Amino acid sequence: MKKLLLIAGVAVALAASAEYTSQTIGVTKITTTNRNTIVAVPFASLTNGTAAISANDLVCTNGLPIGTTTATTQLLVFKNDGYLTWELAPEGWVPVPNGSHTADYVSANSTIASGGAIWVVLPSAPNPSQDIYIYGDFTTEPTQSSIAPGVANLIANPLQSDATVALSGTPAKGDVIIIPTDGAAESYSYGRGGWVNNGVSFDLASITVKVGQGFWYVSKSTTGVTKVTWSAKSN
Amino acid sequence: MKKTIAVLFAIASAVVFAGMNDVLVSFNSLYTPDTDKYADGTTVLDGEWYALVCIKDGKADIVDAASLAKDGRCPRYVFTIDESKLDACAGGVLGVYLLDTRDFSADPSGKKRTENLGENGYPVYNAMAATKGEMKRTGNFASATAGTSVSAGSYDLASAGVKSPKVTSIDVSGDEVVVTVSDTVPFVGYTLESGDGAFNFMVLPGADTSNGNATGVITLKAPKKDGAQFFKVSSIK
Repeated sequence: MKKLLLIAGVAVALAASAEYTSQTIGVTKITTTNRNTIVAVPFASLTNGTAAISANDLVCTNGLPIGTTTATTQLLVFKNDGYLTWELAPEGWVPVPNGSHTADYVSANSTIASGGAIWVVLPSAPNPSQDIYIYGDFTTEPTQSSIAPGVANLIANPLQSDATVALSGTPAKGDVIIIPTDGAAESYSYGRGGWVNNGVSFDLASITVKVGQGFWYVSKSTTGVTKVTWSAKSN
Repeated sequence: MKKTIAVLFAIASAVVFAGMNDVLVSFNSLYTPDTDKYADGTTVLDGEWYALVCIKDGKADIVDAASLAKDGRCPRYVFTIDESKLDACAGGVLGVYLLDTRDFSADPSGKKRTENLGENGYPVYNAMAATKGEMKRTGNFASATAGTSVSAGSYDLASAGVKSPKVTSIDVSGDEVVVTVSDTVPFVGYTLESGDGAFNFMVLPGADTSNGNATGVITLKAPKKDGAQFFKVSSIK
């Protein structure tokens, strides 16, 4: 006796209806009154969500001042103790060759991993203020910034909130943290007694780093601090 | 001796086999609560095809199909099916599916159905969606009640080879964030979901939507805001 499978309801065996979604993308607006602004890199490349984003893909050109070479907006990417530079032209971001590097070199080496930072340099301090837009893939929220040992590192808070910091690895004597603030800079150095600011002992955990705010970690040892971990600051 | 088996159905029906050669199905209701829609959210065209489909070993094969849609719904209809076709579905399941047979190369607006028939004599289709309902059985009789209508999110896009959309560029222009999307298809609708955080997305009232494009590329927009904004592109439900 032939029988076929009894069917009840037609939520059948093909792939169930599903929502098709893209990668998560983020757009962040930064408002500055400084000529030089450290901008955090919380995003990855749009073309490959696991790859570092290039500076010229990170920063939107919309609304940024365009002028001659000496009076246009620039992006500065700190790499290997030096800067790679992009300038804003009518056609977009243009890599700038210098004595050490060709334009092609600048173009190929301007990626910054999530948790890193770049400088945005305006022609002059804006009055009243200037908006800077950054964007990219935000599928994975970065919570750490890598520290290259023995060199200066430019990093910034990649979280979408104010943050506290913790270090992985032991700071070396002479390590320095420099936090630029509105043209001045707060400096914290590491010695026998720990972190010191203006000769006064300082608890690094008490630092609050605002959204997108950056600082320098100058590493003096090849075996010291390797990472900075960011944690959202509880209110 | 070849026997034919009659299958009576309306929207949101399934087929129940009451015995060796007999299929007896009656219906309590003939109409779905609302109109059936394509994956881009538009109402199905008059004459769109509904098919009796055998699902077996993860594959879908059309057993029979007819051009039936009228005013966005399927009217009462009787399928007459050769018994041998049902035998071929032994171990599988049968369901009633709505086919999207729109021909976007002939009409990019999607108002024209294809005239291209496949090898089996049924029209080439972009995607299919299962109709839904409940079957009850009493003796040799089965009855079906109308279930939900076919929504945009009901379509089996995976088997149609539809890819997930991919954001390829973002721009801030005037008061808007403009998102360029690739890997779209013209028979699916897409929308921009927004969130203040990276994990709490929703489709906001007035969110930008667009059908996909034969080139694969579309743009979607959202008002720009202070602080951080998060977006993702999704197929409409």
